[in-house]
Amino acid sequence: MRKIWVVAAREFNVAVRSKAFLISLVSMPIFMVGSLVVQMLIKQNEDKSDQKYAVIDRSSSGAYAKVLESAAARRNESQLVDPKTGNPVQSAYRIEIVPPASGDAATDEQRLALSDRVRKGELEGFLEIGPDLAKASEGSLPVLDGRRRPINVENDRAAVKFQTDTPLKDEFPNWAVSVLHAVVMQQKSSAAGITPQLIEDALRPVPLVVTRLTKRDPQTGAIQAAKSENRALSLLLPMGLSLLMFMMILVSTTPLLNSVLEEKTARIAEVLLGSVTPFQLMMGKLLGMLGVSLISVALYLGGVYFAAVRYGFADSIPTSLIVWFLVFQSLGVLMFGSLFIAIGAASNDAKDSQSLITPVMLLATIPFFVMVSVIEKPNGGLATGMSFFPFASPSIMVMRLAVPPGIPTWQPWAATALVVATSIACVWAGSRVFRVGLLMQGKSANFAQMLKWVING
Amino acid sequence: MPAVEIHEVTKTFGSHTAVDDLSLEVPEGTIYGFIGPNGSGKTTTLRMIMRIFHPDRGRIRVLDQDATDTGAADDAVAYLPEERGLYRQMKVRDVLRFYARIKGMTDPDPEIDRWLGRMGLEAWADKKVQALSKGMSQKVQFIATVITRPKLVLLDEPFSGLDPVNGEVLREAVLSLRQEGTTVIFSTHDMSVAEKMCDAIFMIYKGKKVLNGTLEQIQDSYGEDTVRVRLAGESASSLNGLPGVNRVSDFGRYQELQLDRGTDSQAVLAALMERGEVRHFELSRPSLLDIFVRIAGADSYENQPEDSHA
Repeated sequence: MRKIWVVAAREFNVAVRSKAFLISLVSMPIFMVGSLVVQMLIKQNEDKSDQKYAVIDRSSSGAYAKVLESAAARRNESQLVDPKTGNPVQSAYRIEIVPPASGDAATDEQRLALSDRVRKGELEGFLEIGPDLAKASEGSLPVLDGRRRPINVENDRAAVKFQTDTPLKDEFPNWAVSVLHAVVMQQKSSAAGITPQLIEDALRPVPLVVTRLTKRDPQTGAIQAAKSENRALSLLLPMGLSLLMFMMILVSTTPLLNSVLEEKTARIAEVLLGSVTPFQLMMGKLLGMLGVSLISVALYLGGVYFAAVRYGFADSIPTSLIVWFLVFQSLGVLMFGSLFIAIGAASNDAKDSQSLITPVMLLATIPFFVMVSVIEKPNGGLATGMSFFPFASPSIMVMRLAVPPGIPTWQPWAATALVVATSIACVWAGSRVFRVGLLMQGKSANFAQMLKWVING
Repeated sequence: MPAVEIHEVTKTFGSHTAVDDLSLEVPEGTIYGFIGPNGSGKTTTLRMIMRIFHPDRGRIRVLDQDATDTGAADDAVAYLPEERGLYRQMKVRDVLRFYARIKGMTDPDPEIDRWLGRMGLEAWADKKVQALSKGMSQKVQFIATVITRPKLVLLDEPFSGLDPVNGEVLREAVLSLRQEGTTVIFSTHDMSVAEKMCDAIFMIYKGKKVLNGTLEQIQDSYGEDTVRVRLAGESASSLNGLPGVNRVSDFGRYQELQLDRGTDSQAVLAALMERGEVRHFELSRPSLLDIFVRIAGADSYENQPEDSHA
């Protein structure tokens, strides 16, 4: 045991004193916060110059294009700058009304000409308003469950068609359609003898307020008002925790791989194995790195907790969740760490280790593939099943624990038992690969050989 | 009580038998030389004594403890592998502290200072290992091996790649270990070092013990079958084809003739006198190098390949 501590202490000291550790410790929050800041800056500084669109109105009156033109003019006057700061917030729309060509051939010619202008950059895109906009459309009728019928609007005379080179930039067509929709609605309602006001009232959605459960205060006995749901936090907490767990496993296991590789390639292993057993050496390394990861987590969680207390959402983070996080994160480091150590011992150089790492990294990223469905349905079949798959268990259990209302108490315990068993198996198998691989020079092993070493010792 | 007892030990790697039914006793307080061409099983034997490898058959006892099965070597046994290994990013002092502590030493600093001083490395104590020259890091590695005052030290090629000055420093350090009662086993390719330093010599060839004993015992078993001659103004080629001479080795200033069994040395002298003016004629026992070459063949000594497996 003493020898394990000596190895662990060296591993810990070297890792904590290394520049890489400091850099990753500092850079992770900077990176996370930084990416948010960068996104905001990009949003602020995106191009707010005028955007020019052509509009072809095929309706008999040609009135829709004019409506759009005047709506754009109103919008350009009132909504382009932030009223508080005076900074520009969005681009002005400039509408160019193009009279429709007659005849199919001429129409196609016109579309080509306008498309060429878009290609040259004179226009952002062009909008064609169908001739029968006010009539019932063949498709696009909302049905009751909110989905739209599959439709072919290609030749729909009631449709609005927008052609552009940048189809993902859909602010303008969405704006134009909402303007046109309002006009059509007015026309149809007045034709039916209903006032637009009535339609507006009828379409106003019923408000929805989501709160947590009502509780009785254990001291005063009074019934407490239910807390309103903080949706952002409910989403961020499980996502943040599982991301943190993934980063911690990554940050602590990669140095393990490198230190084993160093010991192997610099022939330190033979000196060490003259003094300690392979198992002691491996456990020492694992414990040293576990210490490093726990230090980092303590710093991060401390920071989050400080922020939580300061901004008053501390009671949204239950203590038990933090304890479970630490338990699962420790087990995750041991489990993946032993796999990385085995790989380091089996490879001949850093390049060879890459191909062996990939499958293990895939195991580590499983939680991200199922993250969305786990957060939506933490007690669903997929979430429950995946949280008992040992390699995904740490992240997914913590995710499920972090989503209200939580999960049956036996589940994290059962998962812990499973992960402990898997970790022990990994450490055992890893130490056997480690023992054989560490002194093997010249060529890297593949998984089949590693398996043979595990079985034969 | 012997420091190391190896009893009928066999170790195979796949289909290759690295050590074949080997028995050996290394008495306490001796300097024991292990010689043999590369790939003959020296390092495998050393690693089995260190319990890094475990024998397939047979028993090994080290310092009166069973060392056959799993478990790390006793803290009183130290090992300097042929391939030197030090953490390049660590400071010299930290590396030495680590190696000392892993062997159970609680306060290694005074010993570290003593040894660094003795090896002339005081100024490098707080430098990183990667800043050291090859000779310096070899000395640091030696300190790491002996810092805990082990009872048994195994040195695999301790002098290879050292310049004469550093080689002499290490040689003195090894001799002083014996004076303190330490048992030293070292493997070497340098037969003159083995002849000069070792109380006993053990040669392994193709996994089998071929020589074992003191230099005198080994040489006696070969008898006085070697003649050293110097002829005035003659080259070695003029000695070819002498009757009763098995082999001629040219050492520049003199030539060594190996006589067939039963050859009369006076007849050889007479034949030599016919060929030229004999300046020097000496009957002697074969040198260790000569014996080595006779067993393993000249190629195995002169074309030592880089260490292959085990």
